[in-house]
Amino acid sequence: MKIFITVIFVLINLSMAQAKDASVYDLETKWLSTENQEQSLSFFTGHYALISMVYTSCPHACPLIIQKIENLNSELEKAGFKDISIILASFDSKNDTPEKLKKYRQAKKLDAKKWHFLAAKSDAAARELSVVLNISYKDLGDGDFSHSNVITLLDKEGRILKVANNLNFNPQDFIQALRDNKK
Amino acid sequence: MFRFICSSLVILFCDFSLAAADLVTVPAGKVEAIWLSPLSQKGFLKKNQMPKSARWISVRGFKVQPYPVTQGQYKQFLLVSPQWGKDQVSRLFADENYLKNIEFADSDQDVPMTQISWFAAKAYCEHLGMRLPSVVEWEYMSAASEKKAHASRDVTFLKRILDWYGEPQSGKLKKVGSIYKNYYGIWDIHGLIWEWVDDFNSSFVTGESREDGSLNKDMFCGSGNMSVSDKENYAAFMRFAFRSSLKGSSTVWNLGFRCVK
Repeated sequence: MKIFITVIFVLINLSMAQAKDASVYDLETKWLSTENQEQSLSFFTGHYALISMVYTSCPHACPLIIQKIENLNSELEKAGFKDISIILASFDSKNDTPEKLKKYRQAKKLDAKKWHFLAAKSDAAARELSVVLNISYKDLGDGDFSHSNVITLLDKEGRILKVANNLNFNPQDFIQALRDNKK
Repeated sequence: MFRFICSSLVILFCDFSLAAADLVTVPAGKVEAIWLSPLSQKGFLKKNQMPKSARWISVRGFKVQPYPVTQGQYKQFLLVSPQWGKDQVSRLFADENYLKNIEFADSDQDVPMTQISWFAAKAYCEHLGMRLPSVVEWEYMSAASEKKAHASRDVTFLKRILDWYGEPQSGKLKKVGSIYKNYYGIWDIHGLIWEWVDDFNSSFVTGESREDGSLNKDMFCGSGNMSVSDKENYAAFMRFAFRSSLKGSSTVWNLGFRCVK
């Protein structure tokens, strides 16, 4: 009995002493899916995921980032990683409603099972996620945003495996990160 | 049961004492965005291409804590928010230096709370039903000297700020309320610590990438193109450079915060 209690104490102390591993899914903020359902990011637990932020009235870089993610995804599929969720959260809490994001996804012919667009319920939600993902952005007014392009690969628990800080990344680096993680 | 009663009492006690200090009202107005490199949809404009009116940004009125949040106040917050304890916090929200060397000694209870991340500062403010100020709000309230609301072109005032930035840092912070009280009644907004703002990650961006070298050049390194007014407000540039060097989990010994609503 005494040993048992000691063991419990040691275990408690160990778990107290270790600050938790960083998981993007620790964010509890709720977003809205394209079906207008509340979703926190932990919804994606259990799958590898690529996550980034966009806004759909973006004329320049956003279509490019989506195209880059599409290319990256097909490379990952070729390498045998077929079950990857793609999460695109919007900066634009005013204009990017669930309906608008759904239309956007349909117009781009992106598979709804794989591509998850998230509408921000407030500017604070978008700011918080941008900080976690190290994405800089600024609301320029008139529905336009300037932002950096960062694509982040998450493991099944939402921990960061690989980050591309611009769009000139090598898909092989992502494949390698996935292979290393699987070992 | 006992624990429940106890923690309820602590919550009552803490909420009362945290909110006890009166807030200062900062009226609506305009701040000259002297720090801002002008942006257009196509990219950066040269300073002389920018309409003069675009440099003045409207700010809504808000209320602000007259002093930076202190160690004593943060200690009370920790009593009711164990998830923000040094050993409990997620690495996503605070780096390994979170609360480092902060001992919450009684003698330090009026020392500004530092060594906290953006997430921790934000959580503290939200606990009070408040929030962190935006860049624009912070620059607006900090542009006031003791006597004037708009001192961002007052050479003496700016020099004093730069002198503070240039002072050797000893690692020991003075108590809040020891530097100066500005026009609005806000204490120590310059001269004591750096302060977190909500959208600290909103500067130094283009449509391309934060690693875009030409951007930093436009925003910061273009000293050859700097006008006199830019040089006058070099202090603001320093703040923007400092903010852009931070992550949300960063903790720094002289970086604290105050809340607004």
